[in-house]
Amino acid sequence: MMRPAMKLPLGVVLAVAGYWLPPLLGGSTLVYNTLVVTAIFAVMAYGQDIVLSDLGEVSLVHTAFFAAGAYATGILAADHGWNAWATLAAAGAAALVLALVLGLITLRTREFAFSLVTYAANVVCYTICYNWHVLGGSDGFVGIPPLDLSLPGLRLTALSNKDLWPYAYGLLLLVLYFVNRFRRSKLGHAALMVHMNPPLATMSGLDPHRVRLLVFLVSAPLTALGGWLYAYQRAYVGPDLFETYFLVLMLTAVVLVGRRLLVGPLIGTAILMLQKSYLSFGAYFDKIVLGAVLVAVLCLFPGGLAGLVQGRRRRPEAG
Amino acid sequence: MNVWQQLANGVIMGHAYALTAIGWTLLLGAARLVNFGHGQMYMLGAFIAWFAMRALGLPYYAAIPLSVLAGAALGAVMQRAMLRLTLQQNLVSLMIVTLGFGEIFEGVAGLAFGVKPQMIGSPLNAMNLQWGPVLLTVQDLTVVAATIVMFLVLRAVMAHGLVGSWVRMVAEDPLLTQLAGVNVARVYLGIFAFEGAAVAFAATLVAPRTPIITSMGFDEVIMTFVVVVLGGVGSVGGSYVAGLALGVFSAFFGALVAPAYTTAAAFLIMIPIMVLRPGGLASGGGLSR
Amino acid sequence: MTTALEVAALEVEDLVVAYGGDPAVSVARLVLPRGTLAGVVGANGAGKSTLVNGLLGWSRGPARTSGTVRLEGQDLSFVPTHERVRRGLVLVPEGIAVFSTMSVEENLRATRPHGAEAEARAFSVALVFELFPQLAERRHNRAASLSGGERQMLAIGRALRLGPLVLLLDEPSIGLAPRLVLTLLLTIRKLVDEGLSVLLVEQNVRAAMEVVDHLYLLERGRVVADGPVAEMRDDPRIVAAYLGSARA
Repeated sequence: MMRPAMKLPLGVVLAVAGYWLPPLLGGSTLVYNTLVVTAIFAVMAYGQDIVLSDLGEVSLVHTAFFAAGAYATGILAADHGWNAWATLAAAGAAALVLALVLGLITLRTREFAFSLVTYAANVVCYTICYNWHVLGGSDGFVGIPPLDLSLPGLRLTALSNKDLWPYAYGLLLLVLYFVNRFRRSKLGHAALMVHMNPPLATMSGLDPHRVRLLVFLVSAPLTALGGWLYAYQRAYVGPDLFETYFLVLMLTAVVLVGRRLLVGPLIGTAILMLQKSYLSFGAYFDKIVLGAVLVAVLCLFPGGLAGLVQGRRRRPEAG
Repeated sequence: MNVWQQLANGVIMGHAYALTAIGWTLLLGAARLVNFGHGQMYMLGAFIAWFAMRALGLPYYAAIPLSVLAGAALGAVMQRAMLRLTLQQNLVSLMIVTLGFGEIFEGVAGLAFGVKPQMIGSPLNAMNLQWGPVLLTVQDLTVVAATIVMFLVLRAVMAHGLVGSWVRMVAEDPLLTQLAGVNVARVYLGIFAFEGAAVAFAATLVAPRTPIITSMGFDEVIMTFVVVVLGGVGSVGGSYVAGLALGVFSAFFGALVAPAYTTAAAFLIMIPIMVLRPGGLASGGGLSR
Repeated sequence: MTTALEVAALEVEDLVVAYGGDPAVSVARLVLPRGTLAGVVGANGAGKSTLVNGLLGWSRGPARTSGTVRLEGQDLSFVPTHERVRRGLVLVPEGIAVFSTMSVEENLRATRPHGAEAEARAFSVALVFELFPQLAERRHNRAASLSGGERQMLAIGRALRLGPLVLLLDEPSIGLAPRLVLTLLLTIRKLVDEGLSVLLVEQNVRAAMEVVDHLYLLERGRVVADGPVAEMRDDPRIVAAYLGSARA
């Protein structure tokens, strides 16, 4: 284990070095595409990570937060000409509102009840987006302009994946920083206590319902930020964003490497995107691989890849 | 709008919902397990029947048992994979695993059966009946009859048999049940196989009424969930009544408002129940008549 | 008195139970002769429950067990828990050992012997009610509504329904009024006198010594002393344990 004093400089070095990853790996379009999409989906997964790893609940509605971010961005940018900063705020706000409604509904539900309600909420949102022309119907929204975060005097646009990389990477680093701070914060600790031992948490003066709601509210905009950037990257938003594929992707990314590891979802997403880009035989094949990985990890090595490594490394203790 | 027709449609749909939910009722009541792959298993049940008839040339009546067996086998495979998690009662992981299975099933179905909508050519679907102002098919009546029979059988087994005792014991405390000399793994196997077989059976009877497509698993779970929640978790009789109520509601809502939003509306009915009676779902264990 | 040729009801060799790390229990040898009552005593956390759970390869959490357990000469290695129960090794675990949502009668009816030999040994529901008349009075009540003592009686009644060769009881007297403790233990003694072999885990050393034939003292998962109860009465370690539980 690393000495704490070494962690911060190492983190900074890695963060700076990571920026040069695409050219290091060849700089082709595929490389940029894979890495940008990895960053976006990792950001999406971190919202799920907070709820799953810290709160211990399975939210099946985070796809709706992702979609909310994407739809808000798509509609406001394509039809109303909002700039990227404005759509960023709108994406977060849309997710927050949705999360507030859902959070209040599920306030006193736990475990499978919570998951069922969130699953159903996802289907309802999907139905509405699919059928309501105001939200694009089954065709969705096309014609989303390229990302433009320009400030007076500073031109910040992205016309291709290569251009998007700095912004995607920047967003990823921001989210990593945020999740790290969250886990050290009062709310982060409270979430863990409520997860591990609700009665004890109550006796320590915490209100489990309030904690759960707050964590849920914090997690939604995180995922929505992924949706925000995805809208620009794909230049199209549609009801396919609600599909279980994204949900299973998020969950697998969180579970694959190990719970509550800061870079876990990032590495998990990277592994899955690498498969999709370099080892794919079509969308259905990807689905099978994704599902199989999720099942295999949870049934065979629930501690994730990290758990496997730890198990090998542990030496038998004396006495 | 022909009120009698809508009512008949509602009753038939209600039975279809109840039949689709029956395996899930048992699974949730007995193992507190939510099978999120349920919708995809329904879809596979329908497509296996379709494939048996279209590609293997089997008649409809032979395709049904084939699909049921395939469904049971799928359930058994899932149970085998999830056994350790089930004994640990790790509900969170179990739910995620069923999601994973659902994804696998969808991928396999897409590869094996393609993306185009298909129709299961059931002869019963073509046999029309007129009863006063109401138009039905024999398929519809079969759904109703099969549902009633299944529910009566399940209720009898649960209330009186040794199997029923085992399921109730396992529902409350699987580890303690082991100490009673019961092979808990085998009981779970039976429950899962029943879920697989029942949902496949429901698919073979209900799916011929409409076109089927490999992406159709999504909706099924919601209606099933609503049925089970409305009926009270683990209540066999409750699921039947809830299914019926939901069916009639869907028929009239679809006719009077908009068919596309029926599922959404059903969920919105759920919300007040969830808010007012949250303990109703969360209290696990116990399977009642 | 066991002779060298008579098979012991239960024989344990090199039993090790670990919860992912250091072993919680490490017992080199334990023998329960037929028709006797042996007590396992020790402080809290000494590993008594882990020991008896380990005999069945059972636990409420993840545990790894190794070693040999022989039930009337039959090696139980690789035999799954439910199968060991069917062969006659029955455990009444500590804590909740009944199905709370079922009635007393249903608890007894649902717990049945497996196989002809077990059926021959098993108590009928009527016989259990004879042994524990208070249960008969409450036969239709849900187990959750029973008092602590009645729940213990029901748990033991359920165990007798399985037709045990060897009965393992984990702290049956916990939470019972002192008067009831002795009654319960005397009932168990009566069953032993009628042929049952029992291993009794007890925190209440003094009460246990009234009824057992042989005593094992467990400390940190190991047997540190054992012998016939007459000899063990004066063992300073037993006296210390007895003083510790004198207030219990």
